[in-house]
This record gives sequence, C-alpha cells and structure tokens, in this order.
Amino acid sequence: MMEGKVDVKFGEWIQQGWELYKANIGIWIVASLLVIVISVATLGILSGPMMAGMAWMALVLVDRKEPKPQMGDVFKGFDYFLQSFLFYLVWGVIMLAVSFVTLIPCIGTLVVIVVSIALNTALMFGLFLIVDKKMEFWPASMLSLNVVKPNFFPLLGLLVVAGLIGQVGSIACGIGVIVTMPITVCILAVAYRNVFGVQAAA
Amino acid sequence: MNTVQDQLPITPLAIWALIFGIASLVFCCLPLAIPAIICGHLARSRIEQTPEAVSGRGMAMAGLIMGYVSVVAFILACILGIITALTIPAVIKLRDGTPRNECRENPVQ
Repeated sequence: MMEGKVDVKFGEWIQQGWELYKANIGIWIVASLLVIVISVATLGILSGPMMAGMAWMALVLVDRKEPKPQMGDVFKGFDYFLQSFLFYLVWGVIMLAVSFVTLIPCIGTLVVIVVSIALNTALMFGLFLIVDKKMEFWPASMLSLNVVKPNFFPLLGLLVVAGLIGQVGSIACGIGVIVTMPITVCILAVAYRNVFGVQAAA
Repeated sequence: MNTVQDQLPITPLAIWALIFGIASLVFCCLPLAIPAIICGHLARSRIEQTPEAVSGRGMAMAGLIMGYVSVVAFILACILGIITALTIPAVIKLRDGTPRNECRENPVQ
C-alpha cells in the first residue's frame, strides 16, 4: 500500500480520465442524471450509494473488466449502501458542525473554506476504498487520510483541477454538471488505481 | 469487486421498497411511506432466509430509511400544524384587541 510519497502525474491521469469518459459518454450522462435526480429527490439520503455506484462503474472501466458497465449499474452502489450512506452522513454532519465557525466574524468563513478543502482532499479516496476493498467507512476514511497526508499538495492540486473540470458545466444554469461531473469521477478513479495499485482490488 | 453475491438477482420487494421510499420523500406522502417500510422489512427477511438465492439488502435498507424519514417528517409536520392552528387565532385575537384597548385607555381630548 502507498503510504509514502506518490508520483502524482497530473497530465497523464487527467488524460486517462478524459479517455474513459469519452469512450462511454452516453452511459456516463445517463448515470450522472440518475445520480443527481435521485440524490436531490431524496434530500441527499441516497447521495452516498448513488456516488458509490458511479465509483464502481469508473473502477470497472479503469480495470478494463468485462462486461462493461451499463446504465443500470449505477444502482450497484446499493451493494455498499450502509457504508457509503454512513460515509456521507458522518462527514456531512462534521462539515455542518464546522460550518458554524462562520459565525465568528472575519476569519470564520476563511477557516470553513480551508477546513472543507482539506477534508475533501483527505477523503478523496474514501468512497473508492469502500467500493473496491469493501472497507467500512471509518477505516476507509482513515486509510484515505493516511495516504493523502504525505502527498497533500499534489493531490489537492489534482482534486482542484478535477473539481474545476467537473464544475464547468454549472455555468450552463447548472444543467451542464450532468455532463461534466462524471469526468471528475473518472479522473479520481484513475488516480485511485495508480495510488493504490491493481493488487488492492478485492 | 465482482463476487458471487453481487451476481444474485435482486428481490423485487427490495426494488419496490426503494421506489416507494423515493416516492414517499418526493411527494411527502405517508401512504407511500408505509408500503416502503413493509416492503423493506419483507425484503430483508427474505434475504436473510435465502441469502444464497437473492440479494438487494442495500436497496431494502434504503427504502426502509426513506420510509421512516417520511413518517417522522409527517409526524413533525402534523405537530407543527397543530401548534400553528392553536397559536395563530390567539395571535390574531391579540393583535385585533390591542388598538381597541389603546383607544379605551387613551380617550381623545
């Protein structure tokens, strides 16, 4: 397991993520639409399992496994329902608690922004570990944190770039996110597989 | 990632639990939450009885959670409605009465 320094290959990983997305664009758009509609309709309760489904699809494509994932495979995330649900619930509640710091004048908002960016970076591989290695949410979060810690700034850079690409779609009244969000998932799946290696797959 | 467990067919009860659960949240409807809870419990017991034949534990649990969330939301909405119904007439009465009292207490010239 990579708990030391990792060689973060920005260009290569983004290129591979883009290729994965481009080759299966139809499936990704429908899957993304399902994820967003169901997550919003259920007040975020199903965000965890739906995103786990997308992570599962991305990992199958990264590993070039056959058969290729289909649109309905986004519901595969329900095989990891409890852990993915708890992952989103627990870290969501922690973020909500942290957001109360904004009540402190001047530095409050800055503190919340820094903490949320740091937390998102630390947990960037959490959901992939739950899906790939069938880990429980807390050990997965801690393992993600331990791997990210020594490579914090390069991985933060990757997450910012991937996140910006994924959010480009929000310019078009937010609807474009359906098209661009899966690109972020693909880039992160490529990064996960490069950091943790194929042998890590259960 | 793909185990034998993943290849098992999903019990229809789990799928129905999920559908009813989502619908109960979308339409804020108690009559949809109850079948979600019933289907969810039935699906879970069926999966526990025959774990080698069917899957869908996650979907059943999702349906159950959304069903219970809808029931709790319905109860909270009822309590809020009763409190509002009890307090609003009193507030209106108080507001209507205030100017009259002021007039009585302060006769013009």
